[in-house]
Amino acid sequence: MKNKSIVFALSMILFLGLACEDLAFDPQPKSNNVAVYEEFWRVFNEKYAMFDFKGVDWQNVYNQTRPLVDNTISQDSLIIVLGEMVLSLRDGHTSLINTEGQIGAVFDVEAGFPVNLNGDIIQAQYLKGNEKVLGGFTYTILPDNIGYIIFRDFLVEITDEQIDQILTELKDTQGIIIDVRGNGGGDPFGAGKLASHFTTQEVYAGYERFKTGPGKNDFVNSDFTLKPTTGVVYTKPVTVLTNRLCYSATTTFLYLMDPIPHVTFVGGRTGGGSGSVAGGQLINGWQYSLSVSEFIDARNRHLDDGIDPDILINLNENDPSKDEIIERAIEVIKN
Amino acid sequence: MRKIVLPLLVVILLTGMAVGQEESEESKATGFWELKTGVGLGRLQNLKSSQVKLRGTTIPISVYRGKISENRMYGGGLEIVAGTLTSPFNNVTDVTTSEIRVHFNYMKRLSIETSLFEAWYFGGGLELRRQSLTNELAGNNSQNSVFSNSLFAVNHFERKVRLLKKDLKLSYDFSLALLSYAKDDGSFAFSAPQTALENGEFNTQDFESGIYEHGEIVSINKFANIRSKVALHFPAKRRSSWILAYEWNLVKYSRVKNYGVANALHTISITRYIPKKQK
Repeated sequence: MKNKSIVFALSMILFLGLACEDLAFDPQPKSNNVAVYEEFWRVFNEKYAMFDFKGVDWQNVYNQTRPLVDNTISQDSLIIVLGEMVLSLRDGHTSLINTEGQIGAVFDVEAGFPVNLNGDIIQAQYLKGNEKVLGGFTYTILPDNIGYIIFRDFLVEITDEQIDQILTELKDTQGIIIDVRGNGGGDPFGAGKLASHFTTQEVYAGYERFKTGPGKNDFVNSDFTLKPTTGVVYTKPVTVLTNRLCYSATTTFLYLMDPIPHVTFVGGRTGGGSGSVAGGQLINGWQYSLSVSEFIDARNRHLDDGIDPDILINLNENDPSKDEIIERAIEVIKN
Repeated sequence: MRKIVLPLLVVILLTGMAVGQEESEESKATGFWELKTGVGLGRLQNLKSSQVKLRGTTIPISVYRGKISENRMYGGGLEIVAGTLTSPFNNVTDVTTSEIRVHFNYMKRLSIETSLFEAWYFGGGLELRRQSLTNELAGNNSQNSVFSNSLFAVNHFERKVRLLKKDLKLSYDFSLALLSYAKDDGSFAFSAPQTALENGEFNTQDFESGIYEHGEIVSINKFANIRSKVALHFPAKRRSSWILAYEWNLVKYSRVKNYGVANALHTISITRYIPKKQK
């Protein structure tokens, strides 16, 4: 009899525990086309940070695209609809990839803009085989005693020791050109590290406006003041070369360098991609990414669609003898 | 690292002092070791990223050092749980989970007798828990970890039962976290703690979030951690014995309203109970 009581008591404990567990979980969602569409729309509606800046009415996008989706359409048709929604945001950080790894949509930030970069000209006319390579950096000293540093990928790890070594070798130059054309981004912390070697005092760079909740106005600003490194600092004239491929972490580097007085930007319009990126998976396993913040710089400019440099100049693609952007940067330093 | 080690040392020191005091008071306390493993069924739902309930198997390994006397029961242990959780809706979502838990408890026998249990121990516990989740397909949000220090109310009930023609001991444990210091590395949308973003502290130059930074003191309504365990203690052969148990753990926390994370684990475990040699 006592054993029965024990069994009953333990069964009740188990039952109550499981009931309690069920209360802690929301119901399992459906996995059909409509459920995937609704989840995709909702995730972007709650987390995407730049509807206002992009001028996109997401509810209107819903009204236009929702009738195109039902549970009978193919997966290919579904990804086309969702892909169009992605493209409407004109944001290179926003993407959709299906479970086979096929990209449903990625906004092409370069389309319609000049490339403004020719590696053959740089090698033949400027580096000439005299360059040194350290980590992701390629550098040399050009005629007129001007330092030239190429950095094309913020995915490559940057260390303060590397930057210290390069700037020590270039310390007697009259100025430095930093060529970040074609740098599509990577680790934004690398951008902060690099920029910190070009100022001796703290510099206010702007603020990042983060989406912190599902509501339309759930934003909080994080101010960003660049702090100088404790390592080697270069304070002579610096020009930074830009083109449309300067994106994401390179935009971070640019907005950190922009308020520094001895820095001038030369080249083509930048690509933007100012926001921090979040990723995730939809119910059916498709991967998405989206911008969950936006950066507004110290001049109160929204950066996500790119900005014009201080000196806007394009490469003459018919003249292989020189890089007009480098030539203009040299002029800026010499004057 | 120092921020983890120092509080741990304090806790170990306090536990040691308590143990030392008990030893002087009760020389009859018996020390024991428990070595445990088993298999678990895990469920995870993180509404910040998806409504899908992920499921999968986990393996626990733990070691516990305790002392028990007529009136008291106390000790501390380390548990590691690892596993993989998958989605029922596709074959690409693959979330690996690893959890490390350091826990201490101290219970005193209550002089309450019921018809169900012959002994009831009640006391407090401290748990340091860190769970790391990895989903390689979630881009910048692929890594997430949750760290919590929790103060528990701890109960242990036991009685003898006659089962399978053997005299066994049946025990039931129930623990409830009353107050926690918790930190989730992932915010509503981004891979930084919600507190850091809400305080406007994020930047991409020198932002760091050490294990104790950007956490919050939270009560049970924001951070629930419930543990329950039913165990059958088999008679000792020679010196040591076996314990067969069913354990249930539910952790639910919510930093952004309606976007909680629920994590449940059902485990069948087998434990080797090794009492200290009696002189």
